[in-house]
Amino acid sequence: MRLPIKTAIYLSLASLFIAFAGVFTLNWFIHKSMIHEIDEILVSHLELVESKLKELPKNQISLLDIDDNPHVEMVSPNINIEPIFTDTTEIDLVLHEPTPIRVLKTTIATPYHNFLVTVKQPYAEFEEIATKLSVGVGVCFLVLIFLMLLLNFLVYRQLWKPFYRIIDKLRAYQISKQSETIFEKESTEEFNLLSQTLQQMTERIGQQFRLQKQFTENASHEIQTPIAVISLSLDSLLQSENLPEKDLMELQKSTEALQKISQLNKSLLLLTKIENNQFSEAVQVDMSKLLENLLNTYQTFAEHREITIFTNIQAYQVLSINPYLAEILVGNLLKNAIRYNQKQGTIHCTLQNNKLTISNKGEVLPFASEQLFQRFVKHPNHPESTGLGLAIVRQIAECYALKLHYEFNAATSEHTFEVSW
Amino acid sequence: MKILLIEDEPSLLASMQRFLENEGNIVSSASTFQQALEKVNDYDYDCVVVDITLPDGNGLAIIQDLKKRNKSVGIIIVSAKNSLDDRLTGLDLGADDYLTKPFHLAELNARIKSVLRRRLFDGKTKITFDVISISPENQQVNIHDEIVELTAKEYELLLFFISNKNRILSKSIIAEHLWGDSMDLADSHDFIYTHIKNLRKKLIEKGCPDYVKTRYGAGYIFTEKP
Repeated sequence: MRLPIKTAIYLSLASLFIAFAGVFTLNWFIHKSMIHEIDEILVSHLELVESKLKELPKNQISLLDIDDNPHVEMVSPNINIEPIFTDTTEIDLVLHEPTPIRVLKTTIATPYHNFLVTVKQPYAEFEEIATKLSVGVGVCFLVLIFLMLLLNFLVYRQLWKPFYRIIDKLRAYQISKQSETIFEKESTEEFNLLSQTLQQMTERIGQQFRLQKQFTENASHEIQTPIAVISLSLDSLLQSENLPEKDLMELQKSTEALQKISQLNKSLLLLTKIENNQFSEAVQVDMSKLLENLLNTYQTFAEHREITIFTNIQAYQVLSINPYLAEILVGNLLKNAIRYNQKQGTIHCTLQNNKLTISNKGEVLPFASEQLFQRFVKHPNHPESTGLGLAIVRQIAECYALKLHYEFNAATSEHTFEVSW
Repeated sequence: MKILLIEDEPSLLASMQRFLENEGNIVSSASTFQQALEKVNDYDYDCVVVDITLPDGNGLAIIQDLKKRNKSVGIIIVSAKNSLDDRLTGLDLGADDYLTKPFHLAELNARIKSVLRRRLFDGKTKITFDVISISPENQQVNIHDEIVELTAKEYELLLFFISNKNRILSKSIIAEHLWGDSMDLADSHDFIYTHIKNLRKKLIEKGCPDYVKTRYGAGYIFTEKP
């Protein structure tokens, strides 16, 4: 969920709570002050009544009144009630519905009589105003928050633009690409900090990576000469006439191990070179022709293992690729299909609509299929393999943005490799 | 044949020199760029084997120089770099072949012989070994004037054997010669065995003695000797 949406959700939840609580508190507060004001009105009303009552002659015991407010009655002189406020409801005479009323009751002693006086003040209207006011304030608050969020949303888009710019660059960043990714200066301090830090980091990583690549390449080159020396020495030893069979076997083992080192070295060097994009000149390669040539090369090898190859090749399927790498790509896949095939197995080789499919019979992989294209992952039955063939295939596919796909069909026990472009 | 070896690694140079001298060649050597230029200036060679990564210069310059003064000299580049660019530049400059380190002496020998055949005799010379005679121009093999039908690989195999007669050739050397990088070591052993078996059968059928001797644990040797 995006940051502004999350912010909006949290803020609206909080503000809803604040609005509710606020409406009730405000309402309670207004009610309180209103009652206070009403009480003041009642007290002054009572004072008026008191002064009126005290001026009354002895024989008059009532004030002129149309709505029985104040209500005055005579009580025995020994009753003395202190002023007391009460709340009650009465049926409104006009509206015919219960309405809240504030009542003040007390006894007033005049020189002649003792009166019990009750003054009332209905306050339904005040209550209504209080409710309207507090709800109004609550609604205003919510509207304000909503407008704020909307504004925040718009501002967010503008403010976070550099962030997304940086993310896009990071996403496009490839360590193997020689071209340097430049993180520009940003006007927002925080983003500028992020940008500059990333810039330094990528520069450092890039340099480290280049050094490492250089090392691999140099090491591989330097190793070739001593290997050549050992190889020649072993060969001349092999030619000596008076070596016993046991020693010859040892020599042979050394020669083969050395050859494997050399092969590994060459393959690693090739991988490094592909990674370094040192095979730049891509030309239009007729993959159909290339595939047919390679099939020809491996035909005898397949026959030797009694493997039948079925082909379905559409003429002139062109791919823009370095021809040497194209040969390695297809060659490695073919070699793989022959080597890991069953005896008297089959290979189906199809090249159509820019899609090359090579499938061979074979047992299910002894490791997870995701590991298949990793370096040095070998089939336990073939420990002598370098474990680099398919890694090279993947590297080439990555280099030219070809789609590489592997699938195993358990029903027909068929491994299928697919390269499309 | 007069051969010049240009190589900066002394032990490699010594092995190559000893080997080629045993093959009956007159071999000179140079281990620096300067030395190589002097030798190339002063003498004529039939074939020059040049390592293009020399400490004090690029071997490609020597090739240019060689080509300017002597059109017919055979040139084989040896390099630790299996670089397509270097290979193409070298071949463009007029080199005949390109060998990547590490290589086998038998392989170097076969390449030198092939270059010399092409250079000196326009490939028209016949290669003979006892009763076998080969015409490289049309890849025809005769035994007692009778044509032997060989597959392309069997022909290459026979030629490699004859170029390196009386030498023990291990299966891996043979495999590398026949298949180069296109076949991994592990796959090729029994495959090579089948090829050799077929070649042997075809030669014996035409009344040829069995020249291919097996050296257990080591490989094969092609020899007239029993």
